Amino acid sequence: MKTDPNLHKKHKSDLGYDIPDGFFKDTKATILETIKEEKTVEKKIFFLKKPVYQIAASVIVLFGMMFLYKIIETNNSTVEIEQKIVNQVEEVPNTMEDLYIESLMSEEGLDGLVDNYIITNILEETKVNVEDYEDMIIDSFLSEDSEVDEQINQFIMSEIVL
Amino acid sequence: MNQSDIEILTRLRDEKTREDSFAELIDLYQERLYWHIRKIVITHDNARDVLQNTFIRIYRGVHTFKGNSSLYTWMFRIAYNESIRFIEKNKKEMYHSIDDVNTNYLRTLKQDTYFDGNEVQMRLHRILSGVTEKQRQVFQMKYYDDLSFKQISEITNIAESTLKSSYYTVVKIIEKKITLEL
Repeated sequence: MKTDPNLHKKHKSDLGYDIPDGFFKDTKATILETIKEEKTVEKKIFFLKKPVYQIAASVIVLFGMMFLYKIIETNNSTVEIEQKIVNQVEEVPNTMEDLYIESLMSEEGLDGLVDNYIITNILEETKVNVEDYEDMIIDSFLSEDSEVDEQINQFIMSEIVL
Repeated sequence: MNQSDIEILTRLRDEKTREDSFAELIDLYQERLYWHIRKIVITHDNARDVLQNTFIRIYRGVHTFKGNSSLYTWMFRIAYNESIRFIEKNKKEMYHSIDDVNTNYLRTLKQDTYFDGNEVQMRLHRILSGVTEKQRQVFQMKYYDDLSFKQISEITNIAESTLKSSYYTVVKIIEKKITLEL
């Protein structure tokens, strides 16, 4: 330990300042001890840091990707559903509107229009022969109600559903 | 930076020699830094705490030292800043005005266990308590720490001309007051 006796003397004689015996030796030990402790803590944190941070980062990335995928999926299905609803809403009023306007303008009246609508739209869509449909209607006039129901059911089952 | 500073810094920045060279650095400078701090914070207990903080800051900051000044000046600047920070912190807690700071200078001095001033020494302290904090610090750095005006300027960030003016003002005040009292 190098100390300068003149420095102490100067401060003591001029300013009246004193220090405890062995003060600088003790202070040096305290400083070095503090630094050693700090270094140990730093090392511990460093070794603790690496794998913990890596794992934490991986987990965060994983969760992030899952969350992102979920958002994209939700967005897609939402868009699809929205599109379906829009299509349906666009279709229904058009059909009903057309039907209503035509019923007002045509002499055949609503019954004729319904038949026409069924033939042109539903039967064509389901690729049912128009003649079969007319036969079924004629048969229905000649048959009992229960038989008509049965015939219609069979017709629907065989032609439309299947 | 001189050759000795470069050698010490090289060893301080090397992980293998860091602790040993830091112990050497403490041996070389702690006494000078202690007296520098003591004159600013006044009591021994405060000076001890500030000295420890100073060396811890030096240890942490040695990698950031760019070598624009000498190692010695750089360490003094850290010690000075730590002391000022301590004073400012305590000022808020203890003092209400600048007059209070100067009144407190003598009161704090008398309360210190490691102050044993006789009449002559007390007279000097009374005179020093009558000048501003900055003037007192400049005078003490020049007169007791034996620092040049250039070094004091680097430490305090005050222009050399201002420092010279402050120093000679305090010297004149001391001379005048001592002559009057005799």
